[in-house]
Amino acid sequence: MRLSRIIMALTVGLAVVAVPTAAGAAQPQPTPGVTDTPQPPPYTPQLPASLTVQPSSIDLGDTVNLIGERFGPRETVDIVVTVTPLAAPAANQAPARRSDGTTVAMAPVAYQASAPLRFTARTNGDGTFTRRYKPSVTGLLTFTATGRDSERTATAQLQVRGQAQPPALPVTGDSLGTPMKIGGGLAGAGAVLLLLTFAWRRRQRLGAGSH
Amino acid sequence: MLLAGLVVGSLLALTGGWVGFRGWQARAHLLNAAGLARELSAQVVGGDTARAQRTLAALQEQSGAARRATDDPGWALGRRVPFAGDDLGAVRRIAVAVDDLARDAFPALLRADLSSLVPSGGRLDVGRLRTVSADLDGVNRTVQQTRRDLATVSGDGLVAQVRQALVDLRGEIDRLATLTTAADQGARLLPPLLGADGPRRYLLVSQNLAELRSTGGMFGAYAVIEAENGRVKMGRQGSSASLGRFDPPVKVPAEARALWGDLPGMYPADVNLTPHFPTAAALYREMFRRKTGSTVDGVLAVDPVVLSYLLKATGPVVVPGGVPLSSDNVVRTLLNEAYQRLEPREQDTYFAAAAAAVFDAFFTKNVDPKVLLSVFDRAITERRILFWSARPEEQRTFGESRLAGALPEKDTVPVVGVFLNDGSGAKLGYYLRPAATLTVGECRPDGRRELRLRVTLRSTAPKSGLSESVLGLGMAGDPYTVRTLVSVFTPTGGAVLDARLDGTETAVGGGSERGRHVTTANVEVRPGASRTLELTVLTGKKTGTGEAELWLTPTATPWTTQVDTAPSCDQ
Repeated sequence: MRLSRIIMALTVGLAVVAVPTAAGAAQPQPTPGVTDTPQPPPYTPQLPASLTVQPSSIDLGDTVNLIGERFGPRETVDIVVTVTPLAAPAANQAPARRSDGTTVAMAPVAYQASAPLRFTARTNGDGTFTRRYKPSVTGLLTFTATGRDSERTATAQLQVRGQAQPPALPVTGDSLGTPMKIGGGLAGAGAVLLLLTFAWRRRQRLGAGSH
Repeated sequence: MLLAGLVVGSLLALTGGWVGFRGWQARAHLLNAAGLARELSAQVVGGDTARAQRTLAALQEQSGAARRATDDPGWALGRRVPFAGDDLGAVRRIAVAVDDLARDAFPALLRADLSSLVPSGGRLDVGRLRTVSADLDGVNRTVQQTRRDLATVSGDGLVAQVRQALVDLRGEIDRLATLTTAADQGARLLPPLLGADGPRRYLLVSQNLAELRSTGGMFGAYAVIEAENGRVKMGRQGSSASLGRFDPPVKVPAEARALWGDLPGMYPADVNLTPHFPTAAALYREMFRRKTGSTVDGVLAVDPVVLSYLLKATGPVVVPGGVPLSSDNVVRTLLNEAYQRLEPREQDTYFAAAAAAVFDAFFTKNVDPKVLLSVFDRAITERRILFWSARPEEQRTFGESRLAGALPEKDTVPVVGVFLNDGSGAKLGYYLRPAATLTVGECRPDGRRELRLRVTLRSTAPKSGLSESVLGLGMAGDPYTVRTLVSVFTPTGGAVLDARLDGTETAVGGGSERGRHVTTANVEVRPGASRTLELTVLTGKKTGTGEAELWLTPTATPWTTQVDTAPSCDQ
């Protein structure tokens, strides 16, 4: 047993026995009144506002539908888009090669920021909205929708790839390890052979001298 | 000339032979010491103190012999020889490290009397605890010093066997150092927590697993625990319901508010809609303060499953007005039968009586300390005991341990959280049978890794015959249908690509908390039915590891889980 856990357990050990094992009574609920004042919400968590992007993964140039539900009725919803680059190769573009031989994917900067990154939508009487959106950048796009009146917030994510999705780079492992090992081994063997040659010659010379 | 060469050669051969012989001796002693250290560890964990003492004596003998074998002039000379010198030096450092631990650290660890860690006569001996703390301080210093010494030994150029021995020993000492640091901090913290430096008051809350919340269950009932000089007593008791509703609400952190609105700040039953226990505890403490005018030093949460473990150690307890509570029936009795059998007012009386009975049993029965400590170890591992201190310096000590229940802001291994919140307003959580499978998938070009999560909820609730107390508000329409809001927390910096319920794309709510994307889906399960939620989750960037972990809401019936790992992306 981990001693740290023992020590931590001790902290609570004394108190835990005093637990009122009770599950407790139900939470008091707001009583419906006959007044016009708004009633507080019930204690049970409500279904959260939701934002769905359909489809959730597209190629650059495609359009998606943003569907918001359970916002306030007839309110304006602010939608903010943040982009995290995927570092996937851009369409029809070979990966750039660094001096050490590794490759790096290129983002299609030419398309950047032509689609709005902040816009609004208007909900209907049920608190629902639908809005079309055509991204102009590749990457992982996070949409955050916030109802101006209800203050309800929902987020959703969309993956935008280059138009022609190239296959993932193969996993090739350590490119230098094996050549280094073989080269090192050969160099070591060469050095040993060289030393042996010198030693042999020296021995031959000494042997010749002694005769 | 020849004679001189012969003498020098003989001397070198003699010294080499001697060093080789001593090296062979040192190796044998170190191997013996390693075996004995493992035995010692098992005996300490098993509580076999007498045998552990004998093992320690044997270990000291072997480590001392290894130290002596590497301490003579021949060895010292050998350490200056090219090529072999660094290996001999490393062996010497290993021998010294093992001997230092055997002499200065292990005896003190063995002296730490476990019985001082459990209460006796209604109190915990703070004086003995302080002694343990002093011992642990010494142990920690020795371990940290040994760790620093070994860190200066270079592994480059060592022969494979010696290098491996060095790596293994460093790994062991790293683990030991983590342990002794935590134990040292814990032992320092314990006396003040138990009122050694002045009285302390804590709120003890019971999580009701029949009505699920992210950290376990709704905070159903509370008791004030007063600690002074090691003596602990139960004070005022009450239910969360008696704290009422808060208008204006207690201030809820922005991220939690975006996900749940003001509910966590309005109702005590909703403070733990967030899985981050420090937030839940701080909200509950503030609600208690507003309602009673009384301030506490921290909040401790437990659940009835902890009681079932505890009753295994104490044996059954008799509760007036009910069946004897045992480890086998306590969860069923408290989470289900009490609601079926009793009226709300009787339920409160019964729960208070049950609390008093268990309290009494713990303080009056002679409980085996080892059994008791293993009970707490299990409960903490399962996140069924959570503690938050209102004093930041103390809270920092608990850090991100399981006891603190804090969502870490950075993962060491990608962690996917699956947290359940009841949306029915009922006590139907008792009937849920949850399962989760997490599969590590493809490596992506952007350095992220794809994870596939599958969560299944099955309801064993009957189709009829449950009491009003169990069925509660019936927010799902059909009162026997369990509505659960399943919140999936991605690893830090992660994302959710899609969510499907029973194979069909489903609308989900989303937000973020502590650097994790949060996706919440509504899963309604009819009696006897089962629903499956599937999500494709991405880890944060630069996460090539094939490991992954699940963090789940503790439930009345434990989760069935499976994590399928994969090779690292670097392989």
